[in-house]
Amino acid sequence: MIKYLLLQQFKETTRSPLFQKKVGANIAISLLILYFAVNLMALGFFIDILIIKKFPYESPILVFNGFIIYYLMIDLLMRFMLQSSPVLSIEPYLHLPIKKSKIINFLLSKSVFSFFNILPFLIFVPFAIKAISLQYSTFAVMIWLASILFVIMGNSLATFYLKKQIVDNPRIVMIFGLVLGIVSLLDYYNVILLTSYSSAIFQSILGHNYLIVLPAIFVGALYYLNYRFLHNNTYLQEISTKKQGKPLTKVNLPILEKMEEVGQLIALELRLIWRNKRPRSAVLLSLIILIYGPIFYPQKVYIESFGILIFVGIMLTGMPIVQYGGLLFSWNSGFFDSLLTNNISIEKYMKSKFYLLITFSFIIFILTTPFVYFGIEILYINLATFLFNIGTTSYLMIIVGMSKPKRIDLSRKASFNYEGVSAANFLVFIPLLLIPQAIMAPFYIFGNEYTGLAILAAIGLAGLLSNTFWLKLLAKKMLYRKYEIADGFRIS
Amino acid sequence: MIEARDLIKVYGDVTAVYIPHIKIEKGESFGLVGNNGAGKTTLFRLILDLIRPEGGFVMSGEHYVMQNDDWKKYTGSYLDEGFLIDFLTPEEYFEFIGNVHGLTDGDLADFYAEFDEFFDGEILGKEKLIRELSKGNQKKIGIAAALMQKPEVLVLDEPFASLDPTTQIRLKNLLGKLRDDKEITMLISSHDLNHVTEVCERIVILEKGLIVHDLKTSGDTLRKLEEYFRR
Repeated sequence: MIKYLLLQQFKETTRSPLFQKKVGANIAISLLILYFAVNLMALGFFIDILIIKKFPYESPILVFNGFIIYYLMIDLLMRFMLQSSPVLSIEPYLHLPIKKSKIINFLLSKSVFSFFNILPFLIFVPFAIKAISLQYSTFAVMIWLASILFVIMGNSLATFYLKKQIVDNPRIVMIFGLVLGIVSLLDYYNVILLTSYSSAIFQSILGHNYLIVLPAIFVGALYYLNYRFLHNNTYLQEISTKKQGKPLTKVNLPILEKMEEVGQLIALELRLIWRNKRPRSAVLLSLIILIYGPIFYPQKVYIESFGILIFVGIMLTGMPIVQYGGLLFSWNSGFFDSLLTNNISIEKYMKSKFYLLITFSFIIFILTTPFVYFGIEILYINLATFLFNIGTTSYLMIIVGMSKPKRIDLSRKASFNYEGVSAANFLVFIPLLLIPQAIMAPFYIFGNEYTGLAILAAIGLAGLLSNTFWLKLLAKKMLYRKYEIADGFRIS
Repeated sequence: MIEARDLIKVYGDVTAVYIPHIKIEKGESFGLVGNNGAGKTTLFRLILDLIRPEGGFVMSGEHYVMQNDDWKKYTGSYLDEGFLIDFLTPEEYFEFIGNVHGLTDGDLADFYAEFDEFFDGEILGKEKLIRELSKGNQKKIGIAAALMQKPEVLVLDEPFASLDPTTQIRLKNLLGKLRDDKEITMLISSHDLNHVTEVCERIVILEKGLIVHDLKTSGDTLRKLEEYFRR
């Protein structure tokens, strides 16, 4: 029986959208994953040097063992936000004559094979090989890694249990983060001795290998706790993650009512963003990119390089367009047929999308204005790149959005969800970043950057002012392609 | 009102629909029956210009549906959940659909009053999103939204499936009244032979994309249909 369950689990994974993709998107996503993996491994490999630099009089292994507790706490926090509950996947088995204990054991052991459980070993293994194996036997190193594996699995099971007990609420994560901050401060000023305990525990495991039973018992206890809970509550309603029924927000923008049909469509799209996790996080991500400002601007090397500042400007005001626009029509995949059969003109539909994109970019531009503190040229550059983005990138993203868009299930989670993402979503960054630099290149060389900036702004402005023409053209393209697009969006 | 000629839709090497000619008169109530894969939904999608035919055309009134959007103003349709916007509340959805068809607030109030019985207290004022409702209630919303703009052409794909018995009877009465008024052209597909013979004056049997029977409903239509599907 377990054989069937495992086989079906394997099928579920390999048939998920992430694996069903075209080669292009897979390469792009794999490169991204590889990039982060290499970064983590490098961190693990060089962390002993970093520790020696920071704490020259202490043993790097001792310090590292002390910080494991922090890794675990951050891991727990991340899991709480990102780890999805696998409960629903057992629904089709519950009514079949399969022993309950089997289903539960399957459910729990399956959570071992999670992305989060592999991640830490990218750091821990290089460190173990490079630093620990110098002082301890290979056996001790293996035991140490095993103990790490146990506590990581413990974290996974703890998250599983806690998520069932506590209402899934972003505030919990914030409170947890706050507690983590306070604890670290107390630890830093030696009010509590968290790091010392942590290093004591893992240090003793290295010295007295039989102590591995402690983390093993820890995992076993958590496993039993989960098992008992699930055994007593195998009703889907009880074990699926609790959701808080939040009151519906109803915001009416008078300006949208004045815009009639286009306004209606924009209002619809705003509700879509507000009420669905994935589009919401796509929009919020473009706010996070504002961090580029405080990272780049205070550094003298960067602030003196026009090229870098253009790059930052294009990224800041272009990100909202690219983030949301990459899946511009996929967002509507669930009700595309409704848009096609009702009395909605495609031209106005396009217009609503365009207005939405340039409004996002405008909001980000307004938010970047305080960066003028770092120099007036930043304001000019961001204004020029903003105009360039709304006058060109917006159309580019409408075209990208129209090229074989895929269905997206809006009700699904936002993190690690690549449903609907294609290679074009990554490739679009190439023209986005290169074209403005190509336009600017002659002016960098001959030292007349502000003329280049004016040209960039003029191109954007021209694109913006001629929007009726471009949108008509794009609407025509859409009219021709709508069958293919609608077909890609349908389930049956 | 609706006319198709030489209409072909092919998926891979399977001909999903091939209709040399069919004409549905204004005010006619047209029923479509056929087993799974017969091409009922495909035909409706072709009529609603949702898929591109490999050949032939569909006309609604004076216009080709592929070339002119005017038919959208007088056509109400509900085929599947793809016609619902599931992150809206029912009220928000009706408001949106009403708005794109140019309905006033007064029209909307009239609509709610008219469909109060049909909704049976399950739809309005619940503060729930459409995606949180049951399949049956979702279907009620879709059918009501299709009828909301007082269409001249109504296209419904299996409207009776997944409705509760009371709502099935109410829908049957509602469609029967619309048929008798003779002002609306109805295209309805169904797996329920009883319902479809009660509601429609003309019934077409589709098999593997072809029209195999075109019957005028009479006393023994139901018997004929049952005989055909018994095989």
